[in-house]
Amino acid sequence: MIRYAARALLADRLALAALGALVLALLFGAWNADRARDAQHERWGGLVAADLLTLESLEQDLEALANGGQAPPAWVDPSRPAALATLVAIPTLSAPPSPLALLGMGVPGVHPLEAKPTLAGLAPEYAREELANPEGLLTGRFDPVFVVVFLLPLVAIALVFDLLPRDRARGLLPLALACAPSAWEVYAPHYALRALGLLLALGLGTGGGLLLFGFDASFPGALPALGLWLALAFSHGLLWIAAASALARLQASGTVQALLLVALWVAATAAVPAVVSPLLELSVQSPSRTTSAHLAREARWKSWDEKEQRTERLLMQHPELRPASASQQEAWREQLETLAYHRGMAEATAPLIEGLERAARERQRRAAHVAWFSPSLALLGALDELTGTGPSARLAFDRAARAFQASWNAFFIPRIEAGQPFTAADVARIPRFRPGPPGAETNLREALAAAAPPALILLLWTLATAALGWFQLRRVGLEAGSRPLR
Amino acid sequence: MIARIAHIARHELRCQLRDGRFVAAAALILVIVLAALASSAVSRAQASLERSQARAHVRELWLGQEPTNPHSATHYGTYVFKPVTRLSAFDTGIDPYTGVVVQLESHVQREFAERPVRDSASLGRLGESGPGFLLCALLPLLAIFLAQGAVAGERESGLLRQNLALGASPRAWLLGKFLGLMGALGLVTTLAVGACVCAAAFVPGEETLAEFLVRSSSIYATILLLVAVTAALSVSIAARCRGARTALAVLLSAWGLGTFLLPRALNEVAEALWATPSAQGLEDQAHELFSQGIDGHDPNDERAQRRIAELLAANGVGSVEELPFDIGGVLMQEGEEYQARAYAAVFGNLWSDWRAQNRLRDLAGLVWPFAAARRVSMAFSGTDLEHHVDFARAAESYRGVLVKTMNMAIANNKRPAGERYVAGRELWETVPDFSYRRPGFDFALGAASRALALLFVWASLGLLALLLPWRAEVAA
Repeated sequence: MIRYAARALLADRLALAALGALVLALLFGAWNADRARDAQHERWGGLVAADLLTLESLEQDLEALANGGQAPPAWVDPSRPAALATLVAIPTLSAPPSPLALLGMGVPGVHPLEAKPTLAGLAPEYAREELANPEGLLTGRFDPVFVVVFLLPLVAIALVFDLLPRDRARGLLPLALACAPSAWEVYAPHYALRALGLLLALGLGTGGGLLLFGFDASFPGALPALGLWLALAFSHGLLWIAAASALARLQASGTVQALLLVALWVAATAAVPAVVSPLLELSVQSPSRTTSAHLAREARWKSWDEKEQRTERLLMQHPELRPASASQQEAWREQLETLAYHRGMAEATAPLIEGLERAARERQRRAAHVAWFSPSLALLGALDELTGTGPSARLAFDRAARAFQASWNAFFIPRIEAGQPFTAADVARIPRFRPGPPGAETNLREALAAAAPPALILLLWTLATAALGWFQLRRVGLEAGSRPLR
Repeated sequence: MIARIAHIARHELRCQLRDGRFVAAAALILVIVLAALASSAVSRAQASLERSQARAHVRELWLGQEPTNPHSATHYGTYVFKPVTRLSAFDTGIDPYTGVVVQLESHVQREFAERPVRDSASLGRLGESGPGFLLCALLPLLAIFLAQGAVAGERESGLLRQNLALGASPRAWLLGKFLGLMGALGLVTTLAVGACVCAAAFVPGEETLAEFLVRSSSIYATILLLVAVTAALSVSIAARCRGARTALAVLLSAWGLGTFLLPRALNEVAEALWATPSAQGLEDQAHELFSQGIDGHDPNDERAQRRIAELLAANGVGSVEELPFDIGGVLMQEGEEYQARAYAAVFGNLWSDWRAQNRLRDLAGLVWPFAAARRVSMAFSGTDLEHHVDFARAAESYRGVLVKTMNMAIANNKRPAGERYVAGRELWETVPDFSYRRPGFDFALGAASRALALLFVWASLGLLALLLPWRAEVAA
């Protein structure tokens, strides 16, 4: 029976073409992800190098200043901690690509893992966007995650949609059923072999991509994450094979089966997100980007106008801050005003940022429940987490950036308040940001934990559909002919 | 012949309308589109109102600023908010991806910021799901499904053989089937697009009623054309292929390739071929160009010194103190104009690369007309790259006016050495509020011309496929 199933598979040109297309699509996806990974790595490396250069040149400038060099304008004067904290020494916080970045690139143009610390928080007012062709962002990326979420079901459908209907149309079904207790015994080897073919193509495409474009298997946790990635992708394929077997009892022709399966695929990948996405936006109110932009603008102006009053208030409350040397008074006061300006801005924009973040968290929480209605969304959620491009990676980066922001403030604010001029010896003590890649080491457990619920939902979908398929195949009878298209 | 075609078409239409599968599929598509439309219309209406409030608010902030030096005022600058078009409720296009606001200040042309898509949950990763996209993707799929039933189904059940035996010519039968299908599909299209246009009409927008009607009817015509093309091809291919399986494989492959696969694949190839700079890279390019012009902030700059000498000679005086205007204001304005030209060059290159990428992505329209219809739909909705660039240019031009007014105020209000010119509300009021007139329908037509031409080629192919003779006896 197995030999017959293997011969049938090798003779099925559509099935072989579909498997070949899957391998090629995975390789193409890996090539694209590799380019995105290189670009992210280059950007991250460039930012780290730029940061080191800034520190180096800062040290030189401070030494030159100490040796009697000409002082630059106040806002870029390296001896003023306020100038350093708000302009001169600000690094761009960024993370290197995740170890599984070759298998999924997320939406780097929309959610870049980058931030800038200022005394008023993480770029609170006016986040600068990375340049990206908006039509490209609209279209979406072609990476291995796209292949297994969108294309793998179509390949699975192409492999099995016609297995039983074709035999029924040719009149071979009664013959087959005469030789076995049920259609399950006859067709299970066919379905199993085709599932194996799918697994082989998946392994070949993914493995080939990893070998061709490089994969650091020595990275802690990378191999288990890769194993889980493949298992989930295969489970998704099995789900669609099982769905085809579940329709076998409908007595539909191969064409009708294909149409039904494609309609289910459209529902899972396009219709459910199309309905749910707007409902999520309507159900969770968030300050709009327009409102946040102009409210932040107002906060900036108000804070600028109030900086002198705020400084006066601070001095009245803390007279001990006043420096002993009268020569430092003016520079010190200007720095205090800069600090007051940033503090005012941080206070005014805090509710706005909190509102945006709360809404984003709530939308994400609700979006996770949508996986119950669409296995494709469950798979997407799990794979995004595993490749370090999901919400948990963003949260981890955000947490690291906030911790850095706190250390940035803790380093500069006392110096500004004390009116201490910055010296070359202080440069080495400026906090620096050195995060691990998303989805790795400390973050891996978090990524796996975040991937677990959607992964379980997908497995439940697969098991339920497989059980239905088994049940339906066992009940396939000897009804004559297929239902016509019309 | 015409009577027979009309008879077959009427029969086909009646069959479709009585078929529960058609009713269910059409209802499902309508529900999906209406759900997407409800959210889209509400969010666009809200965005339009918020934009009006934000616009008035930033104007108030500009006018209400404390007396200060005009050049400082240009550093604080102002914000310009991207307008919302009514039809963006139908096709949001690139709007969620471009940012809603741009900061205008001296020396820098900024890119748009605050992309609404940043607030969407991870579902945004799946790509777009607005009504425009859904209609362009799902209606052709419905056409393929219905054509399978109407043509292959009739052939499998032997009805085609009976029809031919009764004297119907294969061409008349095919045309009748196509027209009958188009009746059913046209009904769904009209209901869906009609609902979208009605909802869009309630979104506050600045376009005139005539403009809105012309654009929305053009969108309707485009989608109807897309549906007609796919119906004609589906009917013809289903009739000509010996097996329904082959016809379905060909049509579904073309639909899947042209709708989901190729646009993404070509997107990647386009990005590899036309690599565009990062925000920092673009800034570096602009600064490289700045270094060849006057630095308005540095009077010791070599080019600034040369320009001062020219101005002294032209005015017949020996020192800048004797000049009838403030040399600082003039140099800053000349530096600003040079920088604006530099930014025009680097942004021009960036937009040109983006256009090249888009043209390559549009090649997916050669396999299936989806990409062409989407391009037309976005252009007529005013949410494509060309409309965005037009607005960005208008904002940049306004930045030029704002900065020039401030710099020339400095130049024309020369103060004695050591005294700083401080201006107030009277000067701020001389800068007009930003107003933007969206380009007319002809602009949209120009932006969509290539895609429209491709759609007409597809339409000709569809018509040809219907009219070409075929051997119905063999197929039957």
